Amino acid sequence: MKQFLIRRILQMIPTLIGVSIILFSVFSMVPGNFIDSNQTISAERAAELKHIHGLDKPATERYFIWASNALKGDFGYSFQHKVDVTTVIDRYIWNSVLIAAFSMIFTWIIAIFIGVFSAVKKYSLYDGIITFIVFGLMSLPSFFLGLLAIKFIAVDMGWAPVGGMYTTGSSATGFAKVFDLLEHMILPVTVLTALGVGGLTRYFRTSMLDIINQDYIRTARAKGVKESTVIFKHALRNALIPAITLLGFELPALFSGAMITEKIFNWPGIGRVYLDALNYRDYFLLMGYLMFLSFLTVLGNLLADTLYGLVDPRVRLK
Amino acid sequence: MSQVTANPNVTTAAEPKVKSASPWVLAFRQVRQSKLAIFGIVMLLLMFLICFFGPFFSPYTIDTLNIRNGNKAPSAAHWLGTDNLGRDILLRVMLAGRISLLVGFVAMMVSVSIGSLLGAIAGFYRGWVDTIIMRIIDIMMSIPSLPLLIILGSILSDWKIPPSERIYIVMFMLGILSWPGLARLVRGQILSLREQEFMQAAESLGLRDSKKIFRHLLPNTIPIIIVNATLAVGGAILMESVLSYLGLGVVPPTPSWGNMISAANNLIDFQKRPWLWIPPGVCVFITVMSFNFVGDALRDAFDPKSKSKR
Repeated sequence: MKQFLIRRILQMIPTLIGVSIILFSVFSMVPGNFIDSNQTISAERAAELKHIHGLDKPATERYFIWASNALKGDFGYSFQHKVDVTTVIDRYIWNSVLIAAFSMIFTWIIAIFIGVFSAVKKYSLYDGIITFIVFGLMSLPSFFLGLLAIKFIAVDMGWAPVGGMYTTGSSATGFAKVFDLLEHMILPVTVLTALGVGGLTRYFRTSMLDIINQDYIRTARAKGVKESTVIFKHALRNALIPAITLLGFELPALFSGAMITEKIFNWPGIGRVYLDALNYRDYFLLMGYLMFLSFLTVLGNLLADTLYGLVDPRVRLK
Repeated sequence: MSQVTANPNVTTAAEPKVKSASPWVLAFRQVRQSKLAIFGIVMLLLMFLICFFGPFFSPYTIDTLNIRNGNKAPSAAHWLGTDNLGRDILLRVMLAGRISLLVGFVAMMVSVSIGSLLGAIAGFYRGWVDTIIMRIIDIMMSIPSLPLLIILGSILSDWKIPPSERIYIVMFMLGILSWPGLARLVRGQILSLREQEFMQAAESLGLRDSKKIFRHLLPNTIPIIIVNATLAVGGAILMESVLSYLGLGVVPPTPSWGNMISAANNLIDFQKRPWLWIPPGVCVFITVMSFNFVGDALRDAFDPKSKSKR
């Protein structure tokens, strides 16, 4: 186990170096930068600013400067926000985590229940309808679902605010503020849950079907255990074991920010900040955020594999 | 077909009583049993026929602008209404469908060819070749694809690539970023296939490596490739629509479903003229869903484990 962890953590290093090289070369292909796009400053001032931020150096040299700073935890300076990249990420990421965490909880609860019931009643009408809906949700473009929700639920019905995080100009504090926040979370969380529930439901259905056909389930039924106990205690518990590894893969999703959903609902999360940063050519922010996401992905994979080894004694980690 | 039946995964799938039927026939029978898959196939056929032949029956052309007739709601003359330049939405949806479907297919072909080739090479040669390819796959899978695609799209905009050439670049972009998953699956299969007896036979016949890979190993992985390809088309169409919606994929005047939906970015069009953006969105939805239905049924059909459950 210890050996496995050490080997995997060492393997992460070349992967992350590779990621940073690819990302940096992609960014160096982009013509122009934040200073060029500012037309109010003189040519001399622009040259001076570029010199200060090292933008006049060749790309390879810039990469090594960036990488050595990144190792020290300094991901550069965001031109657009006028603070360090890490500060910008820290400022907005928690808004993203807020809706991501809520939707993740809902997604898992809904997916477990729907998945279990369609496995128990497989090939029934209920299973057919659920399968149809689940595939439908998996096939909707996120922005289209968001637009439909705004159009029909927020604008036409007026059941929820159109977007944003708090009502503009509201000076509510305490409980009223929390309520305002929750109200603004309704649509983004619903859309994210709807988009995420499909895949997970399929997953639970398949793994429940695997378990229900096992001999020990037949034994449990034969000795007269109540059907609900068979399903929820004997079957579901075992079906949840492989699902634990999915938690590892959810790690990046929790922090990445739903770019499209946040943009549509004007939610001040890191995903929307990323899209805005693109317009300002704020490279250090883009680069820092993408590196952060890649790091989380790699870490999530490691977590998934480790959890799998921990919960399933048949898997031996070497 | 002889190599295909040599695959133990597929032959064990055939129950003794239906031993005579080939795995392909069995798979087809299985797919035919799934109502959702039939629905998917029918919807896809309709979508293709309408998009590729429909425009010939349309009384309108895409170049006739009639601004006085602009922004009209759906009527008998214009079934889906008209846009701000007076162009028929139905015709534009069909033309956009051609582009979106084409993008999906080409992106899938790029991804499937790179993925299966590199996966086969990695699994066949093992050693340092495998290590290098797997490292590349690890790296590519660690980069979140949507943010990267968005940057690549904005680079294309900065380079001022003409819209007509841009669609081809977008197709390749989508394909090149999506092959690692398939490569991993194919590699896994090839690793186990290359240890089997029929490969020893191929070895003793002194076949060239290229022949072993393309004639004997890859054909055995076709089930995985087909399932993956079906789902990949849907995935590529979905990605293209997101990119084009953000204005970073296929850009006007070339219509695509995604950039037609971006009409919703205009507040008045969004609230008062839903016929501008809902029809293309529904088309993306139906097409992607149909590909998912068919892909899922194919996966069940080729998977020996799921069959024994019936």
